[in-house]
Amino acid sequence: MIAGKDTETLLQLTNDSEAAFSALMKKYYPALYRYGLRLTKDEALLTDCIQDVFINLWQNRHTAAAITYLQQYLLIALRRRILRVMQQERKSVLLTEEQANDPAFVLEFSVEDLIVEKQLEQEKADKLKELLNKLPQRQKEVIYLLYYQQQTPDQVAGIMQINRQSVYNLLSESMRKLKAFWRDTTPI
Amino acid sequence: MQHFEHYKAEDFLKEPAFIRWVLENTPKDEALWQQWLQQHPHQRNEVEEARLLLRSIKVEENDPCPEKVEEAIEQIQQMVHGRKPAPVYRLLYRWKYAAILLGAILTTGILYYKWQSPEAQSSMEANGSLPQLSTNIAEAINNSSDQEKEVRMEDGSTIRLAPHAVVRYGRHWATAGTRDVYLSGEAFFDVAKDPNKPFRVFSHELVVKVLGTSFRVKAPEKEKEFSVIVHTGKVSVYNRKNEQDRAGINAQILSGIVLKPNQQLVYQRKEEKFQKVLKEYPVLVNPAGNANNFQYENVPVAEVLEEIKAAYGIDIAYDKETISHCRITADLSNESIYKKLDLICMAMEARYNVIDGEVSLLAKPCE
Repeated sequence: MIAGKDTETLLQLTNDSEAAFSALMKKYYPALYRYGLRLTKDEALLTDCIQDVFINLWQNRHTAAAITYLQQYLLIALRRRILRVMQQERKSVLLTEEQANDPAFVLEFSVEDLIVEKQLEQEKADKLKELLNKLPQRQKEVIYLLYYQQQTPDQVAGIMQINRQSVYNLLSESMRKLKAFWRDTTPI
Repeated sequence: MQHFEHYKAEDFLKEPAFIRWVLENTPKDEALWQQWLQQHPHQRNEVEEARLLLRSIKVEENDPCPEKVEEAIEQIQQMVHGRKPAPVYRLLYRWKYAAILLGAILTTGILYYKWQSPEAQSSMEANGSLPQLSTNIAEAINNSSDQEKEVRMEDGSTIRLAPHAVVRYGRHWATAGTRDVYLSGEAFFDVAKDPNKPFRVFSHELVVKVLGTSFRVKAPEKEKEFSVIVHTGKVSVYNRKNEQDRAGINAQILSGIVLKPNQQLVYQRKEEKFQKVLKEYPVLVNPAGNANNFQYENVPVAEVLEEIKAAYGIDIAYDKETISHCRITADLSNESIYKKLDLICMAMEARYNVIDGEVSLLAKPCE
């Protein structure tokens, strides 16, 4: 799932290569899908949004060579599109600007491995899960983009429209809570 | 890996090589890291701590099933390369729209009928399936010439009708709550400002609502695509087939899809999809507002971006804090907006993307 450079493929895309377009869709569709599912549970909506993102890429293919990080570009486009659709759908419900800009970000954490390895008893594992699920949405999104979309902190900043320092701050905040948990649980 | 020697746990947590080792755990990485740990035993605690932290935030991923992905990709290919007719397209993602669609097809038919016979209109309004019309349609102007034809309205607005375009409107705008016109074909509207009386253009399934601005509507009946291009001010565009949109059409405020200057909205009729794009050659919409004539000497980049935003009426998203120390000296007076952005990006090693008719700038902090 490592992104790698798409320079060559993008260049072909600029020259109307349908094969390049297909290759890029195959490469990034699953990653977009996984990310999108964090922002919305509505699969039909998500599929349509991903479709729009790729159609947009094709329509703008003649400038595609200028895209440095395609995965980031696609994630940004998808995030915006999903948020816009959700905002439109929620128009009847009054949302503050902050709520509208700060979407729900849902992660299911898995602590099973740690239990199996006996690093953690069931009871503690439940506590860990509770702690993780209580993390603010933005912290979850930073964690997810850094570790599960393997974006650099700069790229994460671009996707979430915040600055790099905020990315670091959100990350350290989560890690501080986790450290405290382990300190109380077992000596590391 | 030599610089890892002085890493703390939090540094490892930002290190791609470390992240890959913990999350993907390939034999190759495993061997590499075990060896490194033997050579640097003093780092064992930091690495272990980072590893434990990273492993405790393990996420359950839901992969799409491969067949679904394949199917979705195929559908996109068909749509963009147009080999086969696009399969049944979901309108705004919901089944219930199928029912509305059917209703809309019926209303379109009735609407057409109504244009033929204005008397039939009041009964249409009564059943509530259409937005309230301000007056009965009284005037119809049909530009059968092959030249543009200018129509002056009583409120001071002008409509320039392209050849073969037809416009109809009510006689009594002064007493009505809105100024409504019906258009088939292409026309440029220069609308006199009246915030209390929205100006609405009904064009087949498209509705454009403004308070006072100028814009062009291209909606020839037989075309597959309609477009709305904004020249100055803001306009709202609605799909009359969409239930939610219908409520917005009658409201006093601008809602729906809001377009700003230099933005163009393309409406694909068959797919019932809107797409916002940046006009191919954005023009200055506010030339007077630019005091410096785009010539800058050691000026904060944010200031330059704000001026460009105002001058072209285009949204440029960027992080103020990141570029707070970036300054620029440049003469951008004779450049197009794209060239201006290119030059700015070059100066500060940034990039920009145009997504959905908006510019998004990705920059690094300057020293």
